[in-house]
Amino acid sequence: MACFCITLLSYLVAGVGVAVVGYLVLRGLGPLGRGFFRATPVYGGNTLIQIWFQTVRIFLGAICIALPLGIGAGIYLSEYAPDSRMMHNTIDSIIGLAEVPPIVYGLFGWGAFSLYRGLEQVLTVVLLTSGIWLLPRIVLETYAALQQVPVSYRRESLALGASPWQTTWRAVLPSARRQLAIGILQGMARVSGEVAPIIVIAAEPGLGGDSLTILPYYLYRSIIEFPLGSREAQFAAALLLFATSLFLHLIAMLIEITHVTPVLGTEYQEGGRWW
Amino acid sequence: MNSKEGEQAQKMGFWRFVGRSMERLTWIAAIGAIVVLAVVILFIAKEITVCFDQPQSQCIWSLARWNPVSEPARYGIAFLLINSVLLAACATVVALPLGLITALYITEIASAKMAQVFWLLMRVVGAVPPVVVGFLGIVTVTGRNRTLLLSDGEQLFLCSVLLAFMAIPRIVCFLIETLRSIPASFKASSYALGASHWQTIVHTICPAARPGIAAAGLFSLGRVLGDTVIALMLIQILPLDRFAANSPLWTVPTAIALGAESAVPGQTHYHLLYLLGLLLAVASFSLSLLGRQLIRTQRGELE
Repeated sequence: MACFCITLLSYLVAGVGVAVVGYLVLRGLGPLGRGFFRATPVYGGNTLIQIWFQTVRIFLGAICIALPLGIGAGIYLSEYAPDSRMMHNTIDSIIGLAEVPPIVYGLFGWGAFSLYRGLEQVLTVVLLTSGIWLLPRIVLETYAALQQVPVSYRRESLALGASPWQTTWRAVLPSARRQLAIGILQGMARVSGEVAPIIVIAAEPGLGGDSLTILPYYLYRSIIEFPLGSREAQFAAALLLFATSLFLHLIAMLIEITHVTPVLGTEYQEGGRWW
Repeated sequence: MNSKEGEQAQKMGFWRFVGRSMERLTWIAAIGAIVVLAVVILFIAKEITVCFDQPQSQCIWSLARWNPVSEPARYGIAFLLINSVLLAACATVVALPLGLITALYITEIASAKMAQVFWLLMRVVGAVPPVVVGFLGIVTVTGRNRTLLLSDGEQLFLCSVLLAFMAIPRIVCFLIETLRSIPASFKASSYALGASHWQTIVHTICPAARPGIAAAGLFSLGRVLGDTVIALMLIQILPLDRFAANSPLWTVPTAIALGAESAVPGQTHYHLLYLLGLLLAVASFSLSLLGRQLIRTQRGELE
Protein backbone atom coordinates (compact mmCIF):
# COMPACT_ATOMS: atom_id res chain seq x y z
CA MET A 1 0.00 0.00 0.00
CA ALA A 2 2.71 2.46 1.01
CA CYS A 3 4.76 1.44 -1.99
CA PHE A 4 1.71 2.13 -4.11
CA CYS A 5 1.62 5.68 -2.73
CA ILE A 6 5.24 6.20 -3.77
CA THR A 7 4.42 4.94 -7.25
CA LEU A 8 1.39 7.18 -7.49
CA LEU A 9 3.26 10.31 -6.37
CA SER A 10 6.15 9.69 -8.72
CA TYR A 11 3.72 9.19 -11.59
CA LEU A 12 2.22 12.52 -10.59
CA VAL A 13 5.63 14.22 -10.75
CA ALA A 14 6.34 12.60 -14.10
CA GLY A 15 2.87 13.53 -15.35
CA VAL A 16 3.43 17.19 -14.52
CA GLY A 17 6.75 17.05 -16.35
CA VAL A 18 5.21 15.44 -19.43
CA ALA A 19 2.33 17.91 -19.40
CA VAL A 20 4.60 20.95 -19.20
CA VAL A 21 7.03 19.79 -21.89
CA GLY A 22 4.17 18.58 -24.10
CA TYR A 23 2.32 21.88 -23.73
CA LEU A 24 5.45 23.81 -24.66
CA VAL A 25 6.05 21.67 -27.74
CA LEU A 26 2.42 21.71 -28.89
CA ARG A 27 2.00 25.46 -28.57
CA GLY A 28 5.47 26.29 -29.87
CA LEU A 29 5.84 24.02 -32.86
CA GLY A 30 3.49 25.89 -35.19
CA PRO A 31 4.83 29.42 -34.55
CA LEU A 32 8.39 28.07 -34.64
CA GLY A 33 7.83 26.59 -38.08
CA ARG A 34 6.28 29.83 -39.32
CA GLY A 35 8.83 32.25 -37.88
CA PHE A 36 11.97 30.24 -38.38
CA PHE A 37 12.88 31.42 -41.86
CA ARG A 38 10.56 34.40 -42.25
CA ALA A 39 11.47 37.84 -40.96
CA THR A 40 8.74 39.35 -38.77
CA PRO A 41 8.52 42.67 -36.91
CA VAL A 42 8.05 40.70 -33.66
CA TYR A 43 11.69 39.69 -33.79
CA GLY A 44 12.82 43.18 -34.78
CA GLY A 45 12.87 42.36 -38.48
CA ASN A 46 15.06 39.30 -37.98
CA THR A 47 14.20 35.73 -38.71
CA LEU A 48 14.30 33.43 -35.73
CA ILE A 49 17.22 31.54 -37.23
CA GLN A 50 19.32 34.74 -37.32
CA ILE A 51 18.71 35.33 -33.62
CA TRP A 52 19.53 31.72 -32.94
CA PHE A 53 22.80 31.89 -34.89
CA GLN A 54 23.76 35.01 -32.98
CA THR A 55 23.07 33.17 -29.70
CA VAL A 56 25.03 30.10 -30.73
CA ARG A 57 27.95 32.25 -31.85
CA ILE A 58 28.17 33.98 -28.50
CA PHE A 59 28.06 30.80 -26.51
CA LEU A 60 30.57 29.09 -28.79
CA GLY A 61 32.84 32.07 -28.15
CA ALA A 62 32.37 31.71 -24.40
CA ILE A 63 33.22 28.03 -24.62
CA CYS A 64 36.30 28.76 -26.72
CA ILE A 65 37.52 31.01 -23.89
CA ALA A 66 36.67 28.63 -21.08
CA LEU A 67 37.63 25.27 -22.57
CA PRO A 68 41.44 25.54 -23.08
CA LEU A 69 41.95 27.36 -19.80
CA GLY A 70 39.56 25.12 -17.87
CA ILE A 71 40.74 21.78 -19.19
CA GLY A 72 44.40 22.75 -18.80
CA ALA A 73 43.83 23.89 -15.24
CA GLY A 74 41.86 20.73 -14.46
CA ILE A 75 44.65 18.51 -15.80
CA TYR A 76 47.26 20.41 -13.81
CA LEU A 77 45.27 20.32 -10.57
CA SER A 78 44.51 16.63 -10.93
CA GLU A 79 47.82 15.28 -12.24
CA TYR A 80 50.71 17.60 -11.51
CA ALA A 81 49.79 19.86 -8.62
CA PRO A 82 51.88 19.34 -5.49
CA ASP A 83 50.01 17.50 -2.77
CA SER A 84 50.03 20.48 -0.43
CA ARG A 85 47.45 22.02 1.82
CA MET A 86 47.33 25.17 -0.28
CA MET A 87 46.55 23.19 -3.42
CA HIS A 88 43.68 21.40 -1.70
CA ASN A 89 42.28 24.75 -0.60
CA THR A 90 42.61 26.07 -4.16
CA ILE A 91 40.75 23.07 -5.55
CA ASP A 92 38.02 23.43 -2.92
CA SER A 93 37.61 27.13 -3.74
CA ILE A 94 37.30 26.45 -7.46
CA ILE A 95 34.70 23.77 -6.74
CA GLY A 96 32.81 26.24 -4.58
CA LEU A 97 33.06 28.98 -7.21
CA ALA A 98 31.47 26.66 -9.77
CA GLU A 99 28.25 26.82 -7.76
CA VAL A 100 28.23 30.60 -7.39
CA PRO A 101 25.11 31.91 -9.17
CA PRO A 102 25.62 33.42 -12.63
CA ILE A 103 24.25 36.78 -11.59
CA VAL A 104 27.37 37.39 -9.48
CA TYR A 105 29.53 36.90 -12.56
CA GLY A 106 27.11 39.15 -14.43
CA LEU A 107 27.65 41.79 -11.75
CA PHE A 108 31.38 41.50 -12.28
CA GLY A 109 31.02 41.83 -16.05
CA TRP A 110 28.68 44.79 -15.64
CA GLY A 111 31.06 46.68 -13.38
CA ALA A 112 34.44 45.66 -14.72
CA PHE A 113 33.88 45.87 -18.44
CA SER A 114 31.84 49.04 -18.39
CA LEU A 115 34.79 50.78 -16.73
CA TYR A 116 36.75 50.29 -19.90
CA ARG A 117 34.90 52.11 -22.60
CA GLY A 118 37.07 50.44 -25.19
CA LEU A 119 34.75 47.47 -24.97
CA GLU A 120 31.65 49.18 -26.27
CA GLN A 121 30.27 46.06 -27.81
CA VAL A 122 27.84 44.45 -25.45
CA LEU A 123 28.19 41.12 -27.22
CA THR A 124 31.88 40.96 -26.34
CA VAL A 125 31.06 41.69 -22.71
CA VAL A 126 28.42 38.96 -22.63
CA LEU A 127 30.85 36.55 -24.26
CA LEU A 128 33.65 37.29 -21.79
CA THR A 129 31.34 37.12 -18.79
CA SER A 130 29.82 33.80 -19.87
CA GLY A 131 33.33 32.45 -20.45
CA ILE A 132 34.43 33.45 -16.95
CA TRP A 133 31.26 31.99 -15.47
CA LEU A 134 31.82 28.71 -17.31
CA LEU A 135 35.49 28.49 -16.32
CA PRO A 136 35.29 27.10 -12.75
CA ARG A 137 32.62 24.63 -13.86
CA ILE A 138 34.88 23.24 -16.59
CA VAL A 139 37.86 23.05 -14.22
CA LEU A 140 35.65 21.16 -11.76
CA GLU A 141 34.31 18.75 -14.39
CA THR A 142 37.80 18.03 -15.76
CA TYR A 143 39.19 17.51 -12.28
CA ALA A 144 36.33 15.20 -11.29
CA ALA A 145 36.59 13.20 -14.52
CA LEU A 146 40.35 12.69 -14.14
CA GLN A 147 40.03 11.75 -10.48
CA GLN A 148 37.64 8.94 -11.43
CA VAL A 149 40.34 7.18 -13.43
CA PRO A 150 41.82 4.44 -11.23
CA VAL A 151 45.28 5.23 -9.93
CA SER A 152 46.53 1.83 -11.11
CA TYR A 153 46.30 3.06 -14.73
CA ARG A 154 48.87 5.70 -13.90
CA ARG A 155 51.12 3.34 -11.95
CA GLU A 156 51.13 0.77 -14.73
CA SER A 157 51.81 3.35 -17.40
CA LEU A 158 54.71 4.78 -15.40
CA ALA A 159 56.03 1.29 -14.69
CA LEU A 160 56.18 0.66 -18.44
CA GLY A 161 58.53 3.60 -18.75
CA ALA A 162 56.16 6.29 -19.94
CA SER A 163 56.85 9.88 -18.98
CA PRO A 164 54.29 11.73 -16.85
CA TRP A 165 52.86 13.54 -19.87
CA GLN A 166 52.60 10.29 -21.87
CA THR A 167 50.76 8.82 -18.91
CA THR A 168 48.32 11.70 -18.86
CA TRP A 169 47.84 11.75 -22.63
CA ARG A 170 47.72 8.05 -23.39
CA ALA A 171 46.45 6.41 -20.19
CA VAL A 172 44.43 8.88 -18.14
CA LEU A 173 42.73 11.17 -20.67
CA PRO A 174 41.31 8.38 -22.89
CA SER A 175 39.62 6.77 -19.88
CA ALA A 176 38.26 10.10 -18.68
CA ARG A 177 37.06 11.20 -22.13
CA ARG A 178 33.40 10.29 -21.76
CA GLN A 179 32.98 11.76 -18.29
CA LEU A 180 34.70 14.91 -19.50
CA ALA A 181 32.42 15.22 -22.52
CA ILE A 182 29.31 14.74 -20.37
CA GLY A 183 30.41 17.41 -17.92
CA ILE A 184 31.28 19.92 -20.62
CA LEU A 185 28.04 19.33 -22.54
CA GLN A 186 25.98 19.88 -19.41
CA GLY A 187 27.89 23.07 -18.66
CA MET A 188 27.22 24.25 -22.22
CA ALA A 189 23.53 23.42 -21.89
CA ARG A 190 23.36 25.46 -18.72
CA VAL A 191 25.09 28.47 -20.23
CA SER A 192 22.88 28.34 -23.35
CA GLY A 193 19.70 28.88 -21.35
CA GLU A 194 20.96 31.27 -18.69
CA VAL A 195 19.89 34.87 -18.95
CA ALA A 196 20.80 36.39 -15.56
CA PRO A 197 24.26 37.76 -16.50
CA ILE A 198 22.89 39.15 -19.76
CA ILE A 199 20.13 41.02 -17.91
CA VAL A 200 22.63 42.71 -15.61
CA ILE A 201 25.04 43.58 -18.42
CA ALA A 202 22.34 44.83 -20.78
CA ALA A 203 21.02 47.17 -18.07
CA GLU A 204 24.07 49.41 -18.56
CA PRO A 205 22.76 52.21 -20.78
CA GLY A 206 26.04 52.88 -22.56
CA LEU A 207 26.24 49.34 -23.80
CA GLY A 208 23.22 49.49 -26.08
CA GLY A 209 21.36 46.59 -24.54
CA ASP A 210 18.11 47.27 -26.38
CA SER A 211 19.50 46.06 -29.67
CA LEU A 212 20.68 42.86 -28.07
CA THR A 213 19.30 39.88 -29.95
CA ILE A 214 20.24 36.86 -27.88
CA LEU A 215 17.51 34.27 -27.65
CA PRO A 216 17.01 33.98 -23.85
CA TYR A 217 17.28 37.74 -23.44
CA TYR A 218 14.82 38.30 -26.26
CA LEU A 219 12.35 35.95 -24.55
CA TYR A 220 12.78 37.73 -21.20
CA ARG A 221 12.30 41.18 -22.71
CA SER A 222 9.24 40.20 -24.69
CA ILE A 223 7.60 38.67 -21.62
CA ILE A 224 8.10 41.65 -19.34
CA GLU A 225 7.19 44.17 -22.02
CA PHE A 226 4.11 42.37 -23.39
CA PRO A 227 2.89 40.22 -20.49
CA LEU A 228 -0.54 39.85 -22.08
CA GLY A 229 0.47 40.20 -25.71
CA SER A 230 0.56 37.67 -28.47
CA ARG A 231 1.99 34.40 -27.22
CA GLU A 232 2.99 32.99 -30.61
CA ALA A 233 6.46 34.51 -30.92
CA GLN A 234 7.18 33.88 -27.25
CA PHE A 235 6.28 30.22 -27.52
CA ALA A 236 8.44 29.84 -30.61
CA ALA A 237 11.44 31.40 -28.85
CA ALA A 238 10.84 29.33 -25.70
CA LEU A 239 10.66 26.11 -27.68
CA LEU A 240 13.81 26.93 -29.63
CA LEU A 241 15.64 27.68 -26.39
CA PHE A 242 14.44 24.43 -24.87
CA ALA A 243 15.40 22.49 -28.00
CA THR A 244 18.94 23.90 -27.94
CA SER A 245 19.43 22.94 -24.32
CA LEU A 246 17.77 19.55 -24.85
CA PHE A 247 20.00 18.77 -27.83
CA LEU A 248 23.14 19.20 -25.71
CA HIS A 249 21.60 17.20 -22.87
CA LEU A 250 20.64 14.40 -25.29
CA ILE A 251 24.20 14.04 -26.56
CA ALA A 252 25.40 13.86 -22.95
CA MET A 253 22.74 11.23 -22.21
CA LEU A 254 23.75 9.17 -25.25
CA ILE A 255 27.35 9.14 -24.06
CA GLU A 256 26.18 8.21 -20.58
CA ILE A 257 23.95 5.35 -21.78
CA THR A 258 26.57 3.77 -24.03
CA HIS A 259 29.19 3.99 -21.30
CA VAL A 260 30.15 0.65 -19.78
CA THR A 261 30.87 1.24 -16.13
CA PRO A 262 34.21 -0.26 -15.14
CA VAL A 263 34.29 -2.63 -12.18
CA LEU A 264 34.96 -0.61 -9.07
CA GLY A 265 38.17 -1.66 -7.38
CA THR A 266 39.99 -0.62 -4.25
CA GLU A 267 42.13 1.78 -6.25
CA TYR A 268 39.12 4.09 -6.61
CA GLN A 269 39.39 4.97 -2.98
CA GLU A 270 42.98 6.12 -3.22
CA GLY A 271 42.18 9.25 -5.22
CA GLY A 272 43.68 9.66 -8.64
CA ARG A 273 47.33 10.18 -7.74
CA TRP A 274 50.31 8.01 -8.29
CA TRP A 275 52.36 9.17 -5.36
CA MET B 1 76.55 5.38 -32.62
CA ASN B 2 75.05 4.80 -36.05
CA SER B 3 72.77 7.33 -37.67
CA LYS B 4 69.54 5.41 -37.07
CA GLU B 5 70.00 5.36 -33.31
CA GLY B 6 70.94 8.99 -33.35
CA GLU B 7 67.77 9.81 -35.23
CA GLN B 8 65.76 7.83 -32.72
CA ALA B 9 67.38 9.63 -29.82
CA GLN B 10 66.63 12.93 -31.46
CA LYS B 11 63.01 11.87 -31.91
CA MET B 12 62.79 10.83 -28.28
CA GLY B 13 64.24 14.14 -27.26
CA PHE B 14 61.65 15.93 -29.36
CA TRP B 15 58.76 14.08 -27.76
CA ARG B 16 60.18 14.60 -24.33
CA PHE B 17 60.33 18.31 -25.12
CA VAL B 18 56.70 18.25 -26.29
CA GLY B 19 55.66 16.49 -23.10
CA ARG B 20 57.52 18.97 -20.92
CA SER B 21 56.02 21.92 -22.70
CA MET B 22 52.52 20.46 -22.45
CA GLU B 23 53.01 20.07 -18.70
CA ARG B 24 54.16 23.68 -18.59
CA LEU B 25 51.09 24.71 -20.58
CA THR B 26 48.71 23.07 -18.10
CA TRP B 27 50.54 24.94 -15.36
CA ILE B 28 50.06 28.21 -17.21
CA ALA B 29 46.36 27.39 -17.73
CA ALA B 30 45.92 26.67 -14.03
CA ILE B 31 47.60 29.92 -13.04
CA GLY B 32 45.50 31.76 -15.64
CA ALA B 33 42.26 30.29 -14.35
CA ILE B 34 43.14 31.08 -10.75
CA VAL B 35 44.15 34.64 -11.66
CA VAL B 36 40.89 35.23 -13.58
CA LEU B 37 38.77 33.99 -10.68
CA ALA B 38 40.85 35.95 -8.17
CA VAL B 39 40.31 39.10 -10.24
CA VAL B 40 36.54 38.53 -10.09
CA ILE B 41 36.60 38.17 -6.31
CA LEU B 42 38.96 41.09 -5.79
CA PHE B 43 36.89 43.36 -8.03
CA ILE B 44 33.75 42.61 -6.05
CA ALA B 45 35.63 43.05 -2.77
CA LYS B 46 37.03 46.39 -3.95
CA GLU B 47 33.56 47.71 -4.75
CA ILE B 48 32.32 46.65 -1.33
CA THR B 49 34.97 48.28 0.81
CA VAL B 50 33.86 51.63 -0.60
CA CYS B 51 30.30 51.13 0.59
CA PHE B 52 31.18 51.10 4.27
CA ASP B 53 32.49 54.66 4.03
CA GLN B 54 29.07 55.88 2.97
CA PRO B 55 26.91 57.63 5.59
CA GLN B 56 23.84 55.46 5.02
CA SER B 57 25.67 52.21 5.63
CA GLN B 58 24.64 52.08 9.29
CA CYS B 59 21.01 51.38 8.53
CA ILE B 60 21.49 48.70 5.89
CA TRP B 61 20.94 45.85 8.34
CA SER B 62 17.63 47.21 9.62
CA LEU B 63 14.40 45.55 8.65
CA ALA B 64 13.31 48.50 6.49
CA ARG B 65 12.09 47.71 2.99
CA TRP B 66 14.37 47.72 -0.03
CA ASN B 67 13.39 50.74 -2.08
CA PRO B 68 16.41 52.53 -3.55
CA VAL B 69 14.38 54.86 -5.77
CA SER B 70 12.17 56.33 -3.01
CA GLU B 71 12.96 59.51 -1.11
CA PRO B 72 14.75 58.90 1.19
CA ALA B 73 16.15 55.71 -0.27
CA ARG B 74 15.79 52.60 1.86
CA TYR B 75 18.33 49.84 1.79
CA GLY B 76 16.94 47.03 3.91
CA ILE B 77 19.33 44.22 3.16
CA ALA B 78 17.84 42.10 5.94
CA PHE B 79 14.47 42.34 4.19
CA LEU B 80 15.97 40.95 0.98
CA LEU B 81 17.83 38.19 2.81
CA ILE B 82 14.71 37.06 4.66
CA ASN B 83 12.72 36.99 1.42
CA SER B 84 15.43 35.02 -0.36
CA VAL B 85 15.75 32.44 2.37
CA LEU B 86 11.98 32.12 2.70
CA LEU B 87 11.50 31.57 -1.02
CA ALA B 88 14.37 29.08 -1.28
CA ALA B 89 13.12 27.21 1.81
CA CYS B 90 9.57 27.00 0.42
CA ALA B 91 10.84 25.70 -2.93
CA THR B 92 13.10 23.12 -1.29
CA VAL B 93 10.35 21.97 1.06
CA VAL B 94 8.21 21.25 -2.00
CA ALA B 95 10.97 19.81 -4.14
CA LEU B 96 12.93 17.58 -1.77
CA PRO B 97 10.15 15.14 -0.69
CA LEU B 98 8.83 14.83 -4.23
CA GLY B 99 12.34 14.34 -5.58
CA LEU B 100 13.12 11.72 -2.94
CA ILE B 101 9.89 9.84 -3.65
CA THR B 102 10.55 9.83 -7.39
CA ALA B 103 14.14 8.68 -6.88
CA LEU B 104 12.96 5.91 -4.53
CA TYR B 105 10.43 4.79 -7.11
CA ILE B 106 13.04 4.72 -9.87
CA THR B 107 15.66 2.82 -7.87
CA GLU B 108 13.55 0.54 -5.69
CA ILE B 109 10.11 -0.09 -7.13
CA ALA B 110 10.06 0.47 -10.86
CA SER B 111 10.89 -2.23 -13.38
CA ALA B 112 14.10 -1.73 -15.34
CA LYS B 113 12.22 -0.40 -18.33
CA MET B 114 10.07 2.03 -16.31
CA ALA B 115 13.15 3.22 -14.46
CA GLN B 116 14.82 4.05 -17.77
CA VAL B 117 11.75 5.90 -19.01
CA PHE B 118 11.57 7.92 -15.80
CA TRP B 119 15.28 8.69 -15.86
CA LEU B 120 15.00 9.90 -19.45
CA LEU B 121 11.97 12.00 -18.59
CA MET B 122 13.68 13.60 -15.62
CA ARG B 123 16.66 14.52 -17.76
CA VAL B 124 14.39 16.03 -20.43
CA VAL B 125 12.48 18.06 -17.84
CA GLY B 126 15.79 19.12 -16.31
CA ALA B 127 16.81 20.58 -19.66
CA VAL B 128 14.09 23.25 -19.56
CA PRO B 129 15.91 26.58 -19.00
CA PRO B 130 14.71 28.72 -16.05
CA VAL B 131 13.50 31.53 -18.28
CA VAL B 132 11.20 29.08 -20.08
CA VAL B 133 9.91 27.76 -16.75
CA GLY B 134 9.06 31.30 -15.68
CA PHE B 135 7.40 31.98 -19.02
CA LEU B 136 5.23 28.87 -18.74
CA GLY B 137 4.28 29.87 -15.19
CA ILE B 138 3.12 33.27 -16.37
CA VAL B 139 1.21 31.69 -19.25
CA THR B 140 -0.55 29.34 -16.85
CA VAL B 141 -1.57 32.14 -14.51
CA THR B 142 -2.75 34.49 -17.21
CA GLY B 143 -4.30 31.83 -19.43
CA ARG B 144 -7.80 31.75 -17.98
CA ASN B 145 -8.83 35.05 -16.61
CA ARG B 146 -6.32 37.33 -18.35
CA THR B 147 -5.46 39.01 -15.10
CA LEU B 148 -2.02 39.44 -13.68
CA LEU B 149 -2.65 40.69 -10.19
CA LEU B 150 -1.76 38.33 -7.40
CA SER B 151 -1.57 38.84 -3.65
CA ASP B 152 1.68 38.33 -1.74
CA GLY B 153 0.90 34.79 -0.68
CA GLU B 154 -0.09 33.75 -4.19
CA GLN B 155 3.12 35.23 -5.61
CA LEU B 156 5.20 33.32 -3.08
CA PHE B 157 3.30 30.11 -3.84
CA LEU B 158 3.62 30.43 -7.61
CA CYS B 159 7.29 31.31 -7.47
CA SER B 160 8.18 28.44 -5.14
CA VAL B 161 6.25 25.95 -7.26
CA LEU B 162 8.11 27.08 -10.38
CA LEU B 163 11.46 26.94 -8.59
CA ALA B 164 10.59 23.49 -7.26
CA PHE B 165 9.73 22.35 -10.77
CA MET B 166 13.19 23.43 -11.83
CA ALA B 167 14.90 21.81 -8.85
CA ILE B 168 13.14 18.40 -8.84
CA PRO B 169 14.93 16.83 -11.86
CA ARG B 170 18.35 17.74 -10.45
CA ILE B 171 17.44 16.37 -7.03
CA VAL B 172 16.17 13.14 -8.62
CA CYS B 173 19.28 12.62 -10.76
CA PHE B 174 21.53 13.26 -7.76
CA LEU B 175 19.55 11.00 -5.42
CA ILE B 176 19.46 8.15 -7.96
CA GLU B 177 23.26 8.06 -7.88
CA THR B 178 23.26 8.13 -4.08
CA LEU B 179 20.64 5.38 -3.75
CA ARG B 180 22.39 3.19 -6.32
CA SER B 181 25.64 3.43 -4.38
CA ILE B 182 24.04 1.75 -1.33
CA PRO B 183 25.37 -1.82 -1.32
CA ALA B 184 22.92 -4.58 -2.23
CA SER B 185 23.91 -6.41 0.95
CA PHE B 186 22.02 -3.81 3.03
CA LYS B 187 18.81 -4.69 1.28
CA ALA B 188 19.53 -8.42 1.31
CA SER B 189 20.09 -8.42 5.08
CA SER B 190 16.92 -6.45 5.64
CA TYR B 191 14.89 -8.94 3.60
CA ALA B 192 16.61 -11.85 5.32
CA LEU B 193 15.42 -10.50 8.68
CA GLY B 194 11.85 -10.65 7.40
CA ALA B 195 11.29 -6.96 6.64
CA SER B 196 8.79 -6.07 3.95
CA HIS B 197 9.62 -4.00 0.90
CA TRP B 198 8.26 -0.86 2.53
CA GLN B 199 10.07 -1.48 5.81
CA THR B 200 13.31 -1.99 3.88
CA ILE B 201 12.86 1.33 2.12
CA VAL B 202 12.02 3.31 5.24
CA HIS B 203 14.27 1.66 7.82
CA THR B 204 17.28 0.56 5.78
CA ILE B 205 17.66 2.52 2.59
CA CYS B 206 16.60 5.98 3.75
CA PRO B 207 18.83 6.01 6.86
CA ALA B 208 21.78 4.76 4.81
CA ALA B 209 21.23 7.55 2.30
CA ARG B 210 20.66 10.26 4.91
CA PRO B 211 23.81 12.35 4.21
CA GLY B 212 23.12 12.12 0.48
CA ILE B 213 19.55 13.34 0.94
CA ALA B 214 20.78 16.24 3.06
CA ALA B 215 23.35 17.05 0.37
CA ALA B 216 20.63 17.05 -2.29
CA GLY B 217 18.62 19.47 -0.17
CA LEU B 218 21.61 21.78 0.26
CA PHE B 219 22.47 21.73 -3.44
CA SER B 220 18.92 22.55 -4.45
CA LEU B 221 18.81 25.28 -1.80
CA GLY B 222 21.96 26.82 -3.26
CA ARG B 223 20.67 26.60 -6.80
CA VAL B 224 17.29 28.09 -5.90
CA LEU B 225 18.86 30.91 -3.85
CA GLY B 226 20.86 32.02 -6.86
CA ASP B 227 18.15 31.65 -9.43
CA THR B 228 17.25 35.05 -10.76
CA VAL B 229 14.99 34.94 -13.75
CA ILE B 230 11.80 33.42 -12.38
CA ALA B 231 11.37 35.78 -9.44
CA LEU B 232 12.55 38.68 -11.59
CA MET B 233 9.94 38.09 -14.29
CA LEU B 234 7.14 37.53 -11.79
CA ILE B 235 7.89 40.66 -9.80
CA GLN B 236 7.78 42.83 -12.91
CA ILE B 237 4.41 41.47 -13.96
CA LEU B 238 2.39 40.09 -11.09
CA PRO B 239 2.28 42.47 -8.07
CA LEU B 240 -0.67 44.79 -7.61
CA ASP B 241 1.45 47.81 -8.38
CA ARG B 242 4.59 47.31 -10.42
CA PHE B 243 7.70 46.78 -8.25
CA ALA B 244 5.57 46.74 -5.08
CA ALA B 245 8.00 47.43 -2.28
CA ASN B 246 6.64 44.76 0.04
CA SER B 247 6.39 41.88 -2.43
CA PRO B 248 7.91 38.61 -1.16
CA LEU B 249 9.59 38.29 -4.55
CA TRP B 250 12.12 40.98 -3.61
CA THR B 251 14.97 38.53 -3.32
CA VAL B 252 18.69 39.27 -3.45
CA PRO B 253 19.14 38.38 -7.16
CA THR B 254 16.02 40.36 -8.08
CA ALA B 255 17.37 43.42 -6.31
CA ILE B 256 20.69 43.05 -8.13
CA ALA B 257 19.12 42.65 -11.56
CA LEU B 258 16.66 45.52 -11.11
CA GLY B 259 19.23 47.70 -9.39
CA ALA B 260 21.63 47.38 -12.29
CA GLU B 261 19.28 49.53 -14.36
CA SER B 262 19.15 52.47 -11.96
CA ALA B 263 22.38 52.36 -9.97
CA VAL B 264 25.07 54.91 -10.79
CA PRO B 265 28.72 54.07 -10.00
CA GLY B 266 29.80 55.79 -6.81
CA GLN B 267 26.38 55.77 -5.15
CA THR B 268 25.53 53.71 -2.09
CA HIS B 269 23.07 51.74 -4.19
CA TYR B 270 25.79 50.69 -6.64
CA HIS B 271 28.14 49.45 -3.94
CA LEU B 272 25.35 47.73 -2.05
CA LEU B 273 24.61 45.68 -5.17
CA TYR B 274 28.13 44.28 -4.90
CA LEU B 275 27.62 43.59 -1.21
CA LEU B 276 24.46 41.64 -2.12
CA GLY B 277 26.38 39.77 -4.81
CA LEU B 278 29.06 38.82 -2.32
CA LEU B 279 26.49 37.62 0.22
CA LEU B 280 24.89 35.48 -2.49
CA ALA B 281 28.24 34.10 -3.56
CA VAL B 282 29.28 33.29 0.02
CA ALA B 283 25.95 31.57 0.69
CA SER B 284 26.07 29.31 -2.36
CA PHE B 285 29.82 28.72 -1.92
CA SER B 286 29.38 27.45 1.63
CA LEU B 287 26.26 25.44 0.78
CA SER B 288 28.16 23.70 -2.01
CA LEU B 289 31.19 22.95 0.20
CA LEU B 290 28.90 21.65 2.95
CA GLY B 291 27.11 19.46 0.42
CA ARG B 292 30.39 18.04 -0.80
CA GLN B 293 31.41 17.29 2.78
CA LEU B 294 28.13 15.39 3.20
CA ILE B 295 28.83 13.37 0.05
CA ARG B 296 32.20 12.44 1.50
CA THR B 297 30.45 11.38 4.72
CA GLN B 298 28.05 9.28 2.67
CA ARG B 299 30.89 7.50 0.90
CA GLY B 300 32.75 7.00 4.16
CA GLU B 301 29.74 5.45 5.87
CA LEU B 302 29.25 2.89 3.16
CA GLU B 303 32.79 1.57 3.21
